[in-house]
Amino acid sequence: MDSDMAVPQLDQFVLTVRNLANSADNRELTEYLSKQSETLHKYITNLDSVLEALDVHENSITVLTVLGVKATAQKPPDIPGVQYHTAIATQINDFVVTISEDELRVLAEPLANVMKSMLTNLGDMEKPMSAIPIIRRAICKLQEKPYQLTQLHCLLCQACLMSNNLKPALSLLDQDIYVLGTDEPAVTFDPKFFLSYYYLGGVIYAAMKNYSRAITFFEIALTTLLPMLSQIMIESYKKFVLVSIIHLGTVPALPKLSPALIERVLKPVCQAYLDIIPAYQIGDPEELQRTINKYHDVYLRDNNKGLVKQVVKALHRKNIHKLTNTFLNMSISDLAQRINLPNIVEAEEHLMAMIESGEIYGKINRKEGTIMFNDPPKKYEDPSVLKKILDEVTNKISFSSTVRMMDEAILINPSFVKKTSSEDDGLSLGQSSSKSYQA
Amino acid sequence: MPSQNMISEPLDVSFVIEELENDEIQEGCLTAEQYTKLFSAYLYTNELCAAKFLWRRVPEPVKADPELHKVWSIGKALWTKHYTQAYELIDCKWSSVLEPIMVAIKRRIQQDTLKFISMHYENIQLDKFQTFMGVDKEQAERIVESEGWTCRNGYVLPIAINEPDLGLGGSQEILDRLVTLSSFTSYIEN
Repeated sequence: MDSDMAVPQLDQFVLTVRNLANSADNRELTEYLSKQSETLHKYITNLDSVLEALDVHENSITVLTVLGVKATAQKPPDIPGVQYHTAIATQINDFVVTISEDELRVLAEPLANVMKSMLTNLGDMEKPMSAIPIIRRAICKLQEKPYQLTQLHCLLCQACLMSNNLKPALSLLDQDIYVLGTDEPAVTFDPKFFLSYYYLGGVIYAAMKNYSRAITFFEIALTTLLPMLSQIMIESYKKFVLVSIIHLGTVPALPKLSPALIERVLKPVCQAYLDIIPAYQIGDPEELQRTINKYHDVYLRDNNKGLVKQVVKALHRKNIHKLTNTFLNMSISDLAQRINLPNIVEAEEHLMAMIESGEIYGKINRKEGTIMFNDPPKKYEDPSVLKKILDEVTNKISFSSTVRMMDEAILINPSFVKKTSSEDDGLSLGQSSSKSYQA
Repeated sequence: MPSQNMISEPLDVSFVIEELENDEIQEGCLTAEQYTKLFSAYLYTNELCAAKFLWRRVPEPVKADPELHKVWSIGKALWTKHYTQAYELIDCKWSSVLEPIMVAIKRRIQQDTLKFISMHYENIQLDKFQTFMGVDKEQAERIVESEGWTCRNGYVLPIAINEPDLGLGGSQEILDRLVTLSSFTSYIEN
């Protein structure tokens, strides 16, 4: 141990941060830490002794910074990668376990950055799944309320996608979000955490075939920050178009997205996706296939090939659906012919899948080789319908009371009061006076 | 062979699933036997997406395990809705650990299929009915009889099976909630 501490620069470092931690102002410490980054990187193999010399509670920022340096720095060549990165992950986990909720909340953003490096490293070692429990633990500690989005939500989604294990993310995603970060008014929440969460959440829902949630998530990622645009929003738009076609058969108009914006910004980069919409709506499978073949490379590059394949299947279903509006009773072979399916077997497979998913209602008559379409047989006097309505109403009530609580919280928020009252002053006494009142 | 009685006790695998999922996340991976167990539990609960992703993350060497591979083939058949193939794959010799869940998976599919046929088929050829249900002629006839359906000129004429009553009708919980809701509504309105 003593030989490790033989680096005088690190001794000095430990002494300084201990001193600075005693002062009330964190700014000096943060400044010092950012200047020391180079030194820390230089003595990367000796950092464990620094960690041992520091108290997690009193020097939490420093400990996290050192962990961050360890996670981002070049791995020492003499230690196997898996061992090295698993050890760092364990140290980060210990940090999360030891530190108190309040201490951790202040560090949410730097923690997210450290954990991101950790996840990347574990991914390189093909062990991304081991990050899931660590991130989950940290989210639990950061959250005061379950409807709070933390900076780590998107990382959990990413870890789940990287390890092909999506279920751990679902319990998190199923919870609607009302608060970004903390209720603290002074703390800002970086939109990148928000965007990544909704984009990745949409990807996870699409993969689990929960298309309606996926559409909601892509829509939130796409529209919330408009008119500012980022790459992640463009990617969300592409997936939004595909999933909407698959699930709804059409692309819903976006509330805040003006046609001009689509024309000007999205069209040049999303042409391959926008072209699918008319091809799909015409209803000709060959035409759709031609469009898809034309842009094959684009879909491949964007990782959207699977969804595009679903669009083709959706077209057959759409065409069958159209027939149910016209016919009460039709022969299955006629149906296969009308929608360009090669044979009856395939037509019946489509029909059965659609009946199974509740898209159409019908009865197959094998003897005559026909299908009879009928109206949904749902009985609405059913107690289960009542239960569903009750659940919906109860949800809405609790949502509205949440909104009311948040509204009240804003009304008594000092900076909001200050701003509104100073604006009032500004109106009544002229622009310049408000400032002098505050001083 | 499952008995001809189509009503069977549902198997509760939620505990098994939860335990194995947690073990996997904690340990990073599972043994071939545990993967097989988790995979079949997903098949039983019809969580095919979860099963698909489970297969994707099973380490390459473990995928060679013959029993896991067999379960995966069943999953593939169910994914593509090739039930006849799924029955064929299920009907083979399983280890004593897997035997009960395989029987349960088969029954679950049979029950779902039976209900589907009852609701959405006016009539169906007896031999087609056999393949759908994965049973032989004699068993098929017994099912038809026990359901009170008729079989005429080689065609089965099903009678729709109603959704089982969930017992919500007289449920106190629903009534209580309805009362709360109505008093809430009258409070809002007045």
